[in-house]
Amino acid sequence: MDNVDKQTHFDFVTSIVLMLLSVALIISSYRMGLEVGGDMYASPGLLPMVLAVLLLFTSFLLLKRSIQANGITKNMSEFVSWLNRFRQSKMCREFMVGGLMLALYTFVLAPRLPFWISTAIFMVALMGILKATSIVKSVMITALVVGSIYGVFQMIFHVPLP
Amino acid sequence: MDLHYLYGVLQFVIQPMSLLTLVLSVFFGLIVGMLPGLTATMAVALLTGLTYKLSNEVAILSLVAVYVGAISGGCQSAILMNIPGTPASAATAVDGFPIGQRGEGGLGIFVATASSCIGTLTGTLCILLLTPPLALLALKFGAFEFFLLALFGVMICGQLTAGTDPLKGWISGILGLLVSQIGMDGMNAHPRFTFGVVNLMSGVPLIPVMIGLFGFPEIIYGLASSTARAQIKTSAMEFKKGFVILLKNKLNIIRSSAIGVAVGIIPGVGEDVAGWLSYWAEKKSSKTPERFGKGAYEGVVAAETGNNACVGGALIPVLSLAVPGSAPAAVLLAALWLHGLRPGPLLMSESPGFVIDISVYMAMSAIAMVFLALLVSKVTVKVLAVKSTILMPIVYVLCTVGAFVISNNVFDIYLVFIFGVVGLLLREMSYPAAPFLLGIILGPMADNSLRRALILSSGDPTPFFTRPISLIFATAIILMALSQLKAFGWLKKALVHAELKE
Repeated sequence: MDNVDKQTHFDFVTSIVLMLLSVALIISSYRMGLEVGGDMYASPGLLPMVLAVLLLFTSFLLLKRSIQANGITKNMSEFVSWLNRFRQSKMCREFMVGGLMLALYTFVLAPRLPFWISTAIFMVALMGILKATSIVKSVMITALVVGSIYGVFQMIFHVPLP
Repeated sequence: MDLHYLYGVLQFVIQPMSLLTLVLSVFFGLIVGMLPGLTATMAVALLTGLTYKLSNEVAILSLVAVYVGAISGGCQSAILMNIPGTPASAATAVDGFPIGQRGEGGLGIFVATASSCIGTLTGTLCILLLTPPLALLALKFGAFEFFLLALFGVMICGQLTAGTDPLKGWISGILGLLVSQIGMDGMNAHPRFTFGVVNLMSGVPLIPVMIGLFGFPEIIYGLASSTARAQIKTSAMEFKKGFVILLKNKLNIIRSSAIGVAVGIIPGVGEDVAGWLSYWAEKKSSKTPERFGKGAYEGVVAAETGNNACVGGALIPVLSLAVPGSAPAAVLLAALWLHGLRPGPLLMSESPGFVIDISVYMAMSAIAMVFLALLVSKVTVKVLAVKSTILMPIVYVLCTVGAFVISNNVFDIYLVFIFGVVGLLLREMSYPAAPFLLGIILGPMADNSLRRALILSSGDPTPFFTRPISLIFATAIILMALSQLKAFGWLKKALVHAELKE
């Protein structure tokens, strides 16, 4: 039951977001047709427009279903209370830590530093934060992984690394 | 069958370099497949980057081998730990784990592995038998049919992968189709939804999207669960007993193979559905269904034969229509494109030996898989005991490397993360990722076909409903949509009413 409720208020919020997205896409696709000119059926905006209309319709069905199940007020209050519960949960903290570390590696370390340095920093730091194993073991695992990837990709297959 | 093609491919496969590639790839697939959270899709996607600089033959051999290995490898963790290594082995765990708990893990693994091998070999046979006629049929497809085929593929995938809520499957598919529209369009070269980002002009690359969509959520969940897994012991293999079990399950194997291949041919549905359907069919036809779920070998045989037969089934539409039958087959299709191959209706005329090549690679992989899986099962318990907080950082590094090496573009690493977040949201909100992926793959075909069709008919949509093949697809799509809109409610009521009257 908890799962059904959770999905219903999620559905309520996502359907609204998707409906807004589909309206934006319809406008953008229509403009595309005007920019290119010619018949609408040959326009690059044709399929995006068809898809956006379908998305609008399916999102509307989802919204209708969630309102029929819970009503607008209950959906809103349940979503807000779920958000508060999630913010304070251990799972949220773990998701955040994991996600932030991956983002840091993806957007900061990997594009700026050589592969072996960025990967070493990322792996040792992440395993340390998650208390996966002792620092010595973390360093040894990291060295083994970086060395293996470097050896296989760069030395054997001559494939450049980030 | 043209024997000289068979002779040629056999000559290639028995070369030491090819055999080494085969063994290493199957081994890699088995390891990835047995590790919970790492799927066959990820295994193929990760290896695609590594095969980029290899010759086409070696690259395709290794990708097919890793696909076969990964689907088969999932059964080991399912039997020993009740954690399916891949979603394809979920049905195996139902009876496999009680078998393991009974102390018959070794026998269970042998039966599951042998069933996987038989399933793969049956799938291979079906590739040889069904691809040429399907490719011939596909030659009759025009722009109208290809558009409707793409739409039908995404819809049926959404319908079958979303469990009880096809609406979410369809929304996921539509979102995937919309993502595929990013970049310059194929006819006017007009930039669509690129927001001035140069890297998006050529569209969204498939491999980074797939890695993110399927890998990232598993990594995040893995990082959040820090518990170490308990060590388990396996028993002896007992081959003789295993063969007796397989012989007793002849009908089960034939039925599950047929189900697996049929499910594989349906676009985007995949091995997990094949495994469950085969398991369900065996349970339904059993005289003692109460034994299922308590360690019945029939359940393991059905699930493993079904999901592995699906590998061959999923490759049939890849080769004949360029439409993937499952998520890993989608990555394989992308890899084939990457290596300059053009699967589809013209494949039989352009590369007549290719179907035989793929079939031989699959058959060889299935045989190698049996030996390797039985060898690997000795160390499986040790590998499975690795903490996910150690494993997942390694997997993420491999994901970024796998995404980067294909085009040496850092932007692809960003895409892994961005689509990873999309994948995580889809999963949290109970939207299946497979229709999203299929939408991205079929989107360009749908776009070009729709506009080409309408240009040919000067904007008249009636040929979508007057051409015979189009009409079949259009009817199927309309019926599927109407069934969800509860348009058949009156029919159900009338039937119930009639039954009550009787």
